[in-house]
Amino acid sequence: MALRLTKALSQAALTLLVLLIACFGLTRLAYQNPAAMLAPRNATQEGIAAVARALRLDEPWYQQLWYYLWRGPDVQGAKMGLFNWPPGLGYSFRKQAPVTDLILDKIPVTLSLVAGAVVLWFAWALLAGVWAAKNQGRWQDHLSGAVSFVFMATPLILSGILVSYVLFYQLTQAGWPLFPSSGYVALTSDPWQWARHLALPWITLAMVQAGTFQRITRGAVLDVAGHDYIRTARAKGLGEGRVWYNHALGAGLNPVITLGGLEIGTMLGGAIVTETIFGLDGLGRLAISSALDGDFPVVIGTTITAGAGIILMTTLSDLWIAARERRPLS
Amino acid sequence: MTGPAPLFEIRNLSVRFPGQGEAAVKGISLRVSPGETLALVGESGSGKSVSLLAATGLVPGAAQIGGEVLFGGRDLLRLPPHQMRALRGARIGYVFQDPQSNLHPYKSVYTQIAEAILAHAPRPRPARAALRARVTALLTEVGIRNAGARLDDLPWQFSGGMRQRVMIAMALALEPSLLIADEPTTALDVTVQAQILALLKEQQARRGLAVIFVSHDLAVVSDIADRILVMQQGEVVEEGPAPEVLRRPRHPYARRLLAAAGLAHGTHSTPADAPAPDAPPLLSLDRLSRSFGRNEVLREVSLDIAPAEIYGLVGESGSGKTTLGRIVAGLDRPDRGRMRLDGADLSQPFTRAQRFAVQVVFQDPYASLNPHRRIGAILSEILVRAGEGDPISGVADLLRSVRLDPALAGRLPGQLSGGQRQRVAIARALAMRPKLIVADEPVSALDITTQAEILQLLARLRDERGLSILLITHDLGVVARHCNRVGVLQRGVLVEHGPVAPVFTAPRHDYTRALLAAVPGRRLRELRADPPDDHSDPLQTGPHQHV
Repeated sequence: MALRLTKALSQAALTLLVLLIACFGLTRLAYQNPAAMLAPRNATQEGIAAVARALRLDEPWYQQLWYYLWRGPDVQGAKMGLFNWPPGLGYSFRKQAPVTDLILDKIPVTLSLVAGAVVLWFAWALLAGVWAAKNQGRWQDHLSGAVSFVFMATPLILSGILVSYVLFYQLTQAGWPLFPSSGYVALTSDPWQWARHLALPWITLAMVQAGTFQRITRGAVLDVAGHDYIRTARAKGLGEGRVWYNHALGAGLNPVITLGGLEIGTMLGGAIVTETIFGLDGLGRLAISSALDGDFPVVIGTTITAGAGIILMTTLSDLWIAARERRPLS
Repeated sequence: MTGPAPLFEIRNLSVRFPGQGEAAVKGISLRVSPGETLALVGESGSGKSVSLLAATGLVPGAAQIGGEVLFGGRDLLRLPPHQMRALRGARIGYVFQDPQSNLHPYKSVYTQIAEAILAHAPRPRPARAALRARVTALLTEVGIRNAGARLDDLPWQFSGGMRQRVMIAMALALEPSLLIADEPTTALDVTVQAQILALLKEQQARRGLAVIFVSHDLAVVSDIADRILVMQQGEVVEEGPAPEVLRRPRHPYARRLLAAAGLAHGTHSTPADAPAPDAPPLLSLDRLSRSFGRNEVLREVSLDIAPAEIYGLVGESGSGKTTLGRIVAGLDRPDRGRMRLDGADLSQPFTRAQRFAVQVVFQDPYASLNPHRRIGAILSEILVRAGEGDPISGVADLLRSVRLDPALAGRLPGQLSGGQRQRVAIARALAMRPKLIVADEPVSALDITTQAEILQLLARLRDERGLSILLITHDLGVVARHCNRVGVLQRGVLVEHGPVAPVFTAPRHDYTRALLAAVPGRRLRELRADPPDDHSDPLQTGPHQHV
């Protein structure tokens, strides 16, 4: 087991390194003249050239890569390359701070956003999905199907604005200011305010996923519903609720775990639209603003964080499935 | 009818599924008393399982169910669902056919048994420690060794027989008064089958259970039943005390079933002659060994198969018989040892001609034919490969050679019966004009009367075409009836081999003796050895098999 875990971890590390180098290459290709983007708006040619020189953007790409990995810009005398200790992701060109610090700063916001949304989205998807499967072909199934199609078909940008309009604007107008429109309060400083501020983004983000996962759950449960062990559960005298929500859902859960892991992993890289609508300063907004500014160390850093999120979640979901089947991780 | 008042009685039960013209069950009646075993016998589609599932509310809602089902003075068909649920599991226990598919794959055996207990437990719920002790005691009682340490294992971590014991423990957990056992031993090895039957009998005696035992096999039934009820196409065609039905069945279908059971399990039937000892062997295996990782599956197996011979290879699951078949067919390679076909070494991998010379027929004709291709296409593709002349007439010839109507070439596999599909699989093998066919459990997925027909077809192909067949089976009756010689595999070692009659009448190895002792139908054979003196003995008249 330890050996397999070591293997999985080193594979993940290698994947991230390849991703990092590919990302480095892409940023060099994507920005024709990054120094011009970084220099002040009224800078002269000499000024731009000075910026390029200071950031070593005028050197060949392999020297830049070497510098990025092994040294990092030693602006304040500290090396912050990936291969230094402690490993760093370089220094932001524009924000005048180490990239690692910028990212660590945003992670709590994104994690809070994803964690709450995941709870809502799976609670809804599993309950409604099994409910639909249990009542296959009846009105409950059609109703739940209709709701899920509405969820799936509504673009995030629209549902975010609608949620904000109804639950913030209309409620506040009616004298019920339950939810603030934007902002973030750390969980550690005030858990109640934390949840209040995040409630609307949670609902928005959960709605998008809940529709899809409700359908996946319904299909997965119907797939196993005809199996012999479901009949055994009834023969034991278990109630229909337990047969469906425990036995059938438990047996059909694997595809939901796999796809859920992927989706959560993707979200950990930042939920750009939701963060923007609700004014949350998370990884998504960091990624967007740095990409628009030509701030490559941050672009690479946020990409690596997103990649690590996906690898982490897929590995966790694989481990979970292996544990359910009580077999070694393949 | 005499005897104690019935515990469970079905009166005029009918079951019709929407969209099907004919009712699946057409007004059957049966009754079973405490301490009695009623056997419900019939082939697949006869309605025997459906009747019992419908009677206990386990058939999906859309079916139309009529009649009366009396249990403890109440009509189950008119009980509200929650009262029916309270009876299932608590008063009526079930054991189903395949313990692999009937146990939840991700729940520990403890959870699966405990939740059955909890579903009927009055509040407050029993404490966890007490519950674990109770489940441990139950599992110990049904013969699971070291049960306390295995509570949290998942079903796949048990062998097939042990899984069926778990199923039985689950069914008995709440001391039901009626046990419904639906083909409980059909998926098991013959020795394990004998153990499970013994366990069921023991539990019945100890608890005074009424048992309804559903099976397609009269031989198995003869070892356990007090009364027998034979079903065909949704109707009861024969009913009576077991010895009477086994001695003098009145209905022709019951006679056919009985004859098939006698053929399948009569280990003392006259087997085919052993081949002449001096004939040069067609296939010769010399000290073959094969391991998967640390697991040695075959150890120095040597055997010869003569031309025009059916060689029976028997053994339990895990004995290595399928691996040996795969190696002979060129689907797997031995680690060590030598194989010769017609005096020439079989290269690894086989040459094209060698691949043609050895063909395979698999167990499950449902799985081994592509469901989306027509029979004609399946066969003609091979004829073209084999370089035969006209594929159209070739297909017709092939179908005729396995006694099928050439018109079936236009059908899809799903439109054929199991027996017809297995004939197609045999025709597919014949298309290559092989010298040897490896048939791995070719009849164990088929109904018992169909089994006899397929085996007779194989025997005919041997006699008419001089074909050799390596017949892999767990069923010693098949070997006794149709094989020239037999080899017994135990954990990868060929412990005994030779002509069938001497091996079966005077087995030298303990394992062979154990296998023979476990063959079901002892009571059937005793009745047969002591036939009534009128002329209605079914085993003398026999069936008219049209092959």
